[in-house]
Amino acid sequence: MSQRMARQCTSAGIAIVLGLQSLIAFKIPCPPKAIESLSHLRVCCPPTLWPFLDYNTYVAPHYEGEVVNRTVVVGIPQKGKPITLRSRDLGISQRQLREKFVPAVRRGNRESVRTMLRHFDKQKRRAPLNSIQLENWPLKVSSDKEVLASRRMGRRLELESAPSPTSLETAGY
Amino acid sequence: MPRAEHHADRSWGARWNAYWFRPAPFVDLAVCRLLVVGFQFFVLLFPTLLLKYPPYTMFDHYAALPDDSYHAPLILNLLMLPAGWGARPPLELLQFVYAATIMVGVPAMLGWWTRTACLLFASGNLFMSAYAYSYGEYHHIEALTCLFLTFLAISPSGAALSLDSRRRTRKQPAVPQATHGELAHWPRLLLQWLFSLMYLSGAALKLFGSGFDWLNGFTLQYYLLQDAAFWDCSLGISLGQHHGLCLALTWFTLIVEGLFFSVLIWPRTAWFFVPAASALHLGIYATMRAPFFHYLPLFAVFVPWSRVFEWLARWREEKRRASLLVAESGQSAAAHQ
Repeated sequence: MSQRMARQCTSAGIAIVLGLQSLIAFKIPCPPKAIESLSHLRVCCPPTLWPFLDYNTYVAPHYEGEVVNRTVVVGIPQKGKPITLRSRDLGISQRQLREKFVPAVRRGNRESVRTMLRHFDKQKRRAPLNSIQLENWPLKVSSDKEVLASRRMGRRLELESAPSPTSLETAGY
Repeated sequence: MPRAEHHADRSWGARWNAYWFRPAPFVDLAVCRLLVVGFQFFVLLFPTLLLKYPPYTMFDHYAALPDDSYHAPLILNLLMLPAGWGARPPLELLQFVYAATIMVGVPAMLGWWTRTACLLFASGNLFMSAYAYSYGEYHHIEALTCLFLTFLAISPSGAALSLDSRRRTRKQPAVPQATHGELAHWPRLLLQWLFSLMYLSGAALKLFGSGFDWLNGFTLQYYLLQDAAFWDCSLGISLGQHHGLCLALTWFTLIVEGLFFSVLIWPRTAWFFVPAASALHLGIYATMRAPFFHYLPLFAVFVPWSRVFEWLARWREEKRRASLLVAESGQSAAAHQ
């Protein structure tokens, strides 16, 4: 291929890449759903033309006083004080804790929870757990120093006893 | 200069060519190849080390999903065209592509049959990421890397620092090898444009979506606390308790994103914007656990590597001369005694 031909082909490629990225980046073929009058222009939304994407992330505004829920897993041992269970205590990733462990506790799936607690049980100097309690430790968006809002109890799953799991207060998170 | 020739030089075509096809050192592009291909090769080998949702470890999960949840991006349909438009890749094919992409990563990095290896490496990465994003959820992390890998495949990225260039030198030792080429500049420049468009899109859509409310500091504080709470990141939670800091970070984010395109107009501003954007991504990871590590090797396109190497060579030469001088003066002092 001659140098001139290579330049022409490359120029066409550059123009296509820049054109596509410019259109997608500013949502031209995918205006926001909120603007109903432009709904007929929603012809090509991400990721249809991936790897050409818009960067429409974290765009919604938030204001003082809003609350962010934070689910915390608390283990209640047979003896001693309750302990906060983090993903590393269970030998699983944070994603697995959020997507597998917490839903299993919410559903009352005792077998699944026990399986995931095996790593914790193996550790020495750890008292065996009697039950697992989900708690919400919400964080308040605020200009004050204090961002912790009042805690709420959620689902509690007894690990040893046969009866079905009890719910002290279903907080809906 | 004659009037007609002067006029011709100022035509749009000539300006375009002068902008995109200005002769540039092959080394600059080759270093980018080494870093970007090397990084992606590392990610393929150890996917869970840097990524939260590595597409390459979830093929079994995706393959088990029903057909009606599969909506392939255009690029995947094009890559699957031999099997028919809209064909869904089977698990075995995905596993084969994963293994084959890792294998071609080595020659792509070392520059052996560079164009072919880079083309296969880019296609494999495009294929796997596009497949992973065919089920509704998608992420931004690999998009620019996949595009740049494609640019490397169609540019002379193996003309320096490669086994190909060594082979050529050995075959024709008498022929001096070219150090510059007019097709060596555009891949780096085009990626700089894509970075600028990406950041401008981020800033514009934030302001379009929230107006100036995005600048209230509470918006960033909310997202910081939300992601830090989700990923159990204590640094994010503790920083999220300082509204003043969140307000400063809001302005910093918007200035970096909104003005990053300055690097195209005044390249020297890259000295500020590239470290600032790197700090932004590292900070986002430290506090919100969003792993945009892929951008760090891609930022190599802003570095004039040939000049860095020249400077290093000069510095080494000066150091050698200085040590020689010290040795000589030591010898003469000993001779006098």
